[in-house]
Amino acid sequence: MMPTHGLVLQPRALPREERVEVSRLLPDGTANCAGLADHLVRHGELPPSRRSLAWRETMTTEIEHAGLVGHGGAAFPTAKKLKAVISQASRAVVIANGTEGEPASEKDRTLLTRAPHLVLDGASVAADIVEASEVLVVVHRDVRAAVDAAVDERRSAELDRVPLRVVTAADRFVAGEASAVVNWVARARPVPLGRPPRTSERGLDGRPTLVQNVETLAHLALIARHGAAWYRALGTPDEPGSMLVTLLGALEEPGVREIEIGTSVAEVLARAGGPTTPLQALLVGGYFGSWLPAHPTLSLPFSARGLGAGLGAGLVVAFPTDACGVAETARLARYLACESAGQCGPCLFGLPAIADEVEKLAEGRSNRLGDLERWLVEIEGRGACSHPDGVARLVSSALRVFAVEVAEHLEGWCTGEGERHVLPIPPGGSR
Amino acid sequence: MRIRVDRIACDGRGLCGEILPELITFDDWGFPIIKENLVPEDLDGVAHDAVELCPKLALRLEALEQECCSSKVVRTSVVATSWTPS
Repeated sequence: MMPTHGLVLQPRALPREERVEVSRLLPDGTANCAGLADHLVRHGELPPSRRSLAWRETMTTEIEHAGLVGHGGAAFPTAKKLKAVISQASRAVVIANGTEGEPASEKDRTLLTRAPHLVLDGASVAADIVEASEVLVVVHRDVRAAVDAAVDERRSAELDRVPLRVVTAADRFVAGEASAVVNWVARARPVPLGRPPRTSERGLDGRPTLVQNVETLAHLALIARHGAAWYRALGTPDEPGSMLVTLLGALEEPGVREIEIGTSVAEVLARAGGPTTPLQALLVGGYFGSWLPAHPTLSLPFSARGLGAGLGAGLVVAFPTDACGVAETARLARYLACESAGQCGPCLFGLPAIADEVEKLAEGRSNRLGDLERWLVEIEGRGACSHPDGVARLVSSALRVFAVEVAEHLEGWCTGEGERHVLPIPPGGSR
Repeated sequence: MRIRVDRIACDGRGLCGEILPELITFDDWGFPIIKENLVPEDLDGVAHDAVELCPKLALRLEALEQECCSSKVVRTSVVATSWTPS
């Protein structure tokens, strides 16, 4: 059976020379900027940190004016986090979070491989702003060696006032959540802690802890060099700057790119060579993100406001018309249910029930769609972390965007081509 | 006062919803759903009872001030020693 729904739109890829290339964080093309010498040629030295209160306030205000937000997924304002840590009395710690537990995302690893010193510059500046005595750089095992090499180089050059220590991250979906990172470093348990207190109040060893995604720190390093006005020269007034995206799915050249926030979604996909086939939908943000219909999303600006959906960790999956959105969502829901830390009842029992029901729907034997819809509402806000909320967002958006496909499945039909998998799930991840 | 559940500590024993059905119901697995986290004044006493009787010390009442950053825990449960949370 052929797809009958009207979600098909083939975007016109812009000719290469028309595309606006952005290379603030990542060097042009495939070049690397891994060595300290290259890094200093490209970006120059960091302006010296002054340890005065006035300097710390100026820096925080500059970051606030820049409008920098976290690029790990939650888009929390960076200046707000800095202020929360500064307001605490005891000695702070900075954690540069390169856990990247999102299995489809590669942007943090790419950044740490191609421009590690920009991240470490940012961590160093952040440590001076919050007067931290130590920086922990928590990174995916794939890039541990690259980061170790960069830290060694900086140590020899006596670049940082505060010592940098590299830690290999835990390898699971929820391990990147701020309190889970603290828990991993402190107790080798990569699961979120309950709230309150927040990590900014009491984190590692009970000390105020600034946990920032590595990309956020790289932006911070550039704001420290060039200021808020420079940062805001790209992007939209609400969401200034550039960001890293991982582009995958039915695209000519999938991979990590840097884009200006507010660029049209079609242009973002054009940065990966454009779609290889007509698309029916896009998954934006991450596996905790939202499905959006290809039409009109492709012509909308790539910003949280433009899409009405969070940009999360910058994942964009181009989903082709010949794949089944219900079946793919079922695979994701099962993976995410298995990745629950298993600490909170609603997540421990609710997610497997949700996954079961989406799987039954995918197999054309759903009989509790009403219960599924109720569970998706009930589970919201009922975990120690936002893992259950993310799953609810993903599945709810799938029921909305693939509504035609859902209706077909309830009748025993699937418009997709059998077992076509678009979304990568780590081996052994779906237990 | 605002009522809050520590989701990690909560084991779904269900006492809170028995004591405070006006504010708390249960999901299909017996875990509490806070229908309304603002505790009306006339339920203040009962809410304190619910906090004290939770066998997992998972229920909290928080003051309404300082919403944004650090919500201060004004009273955690003072549980009788006869309770042995497992």
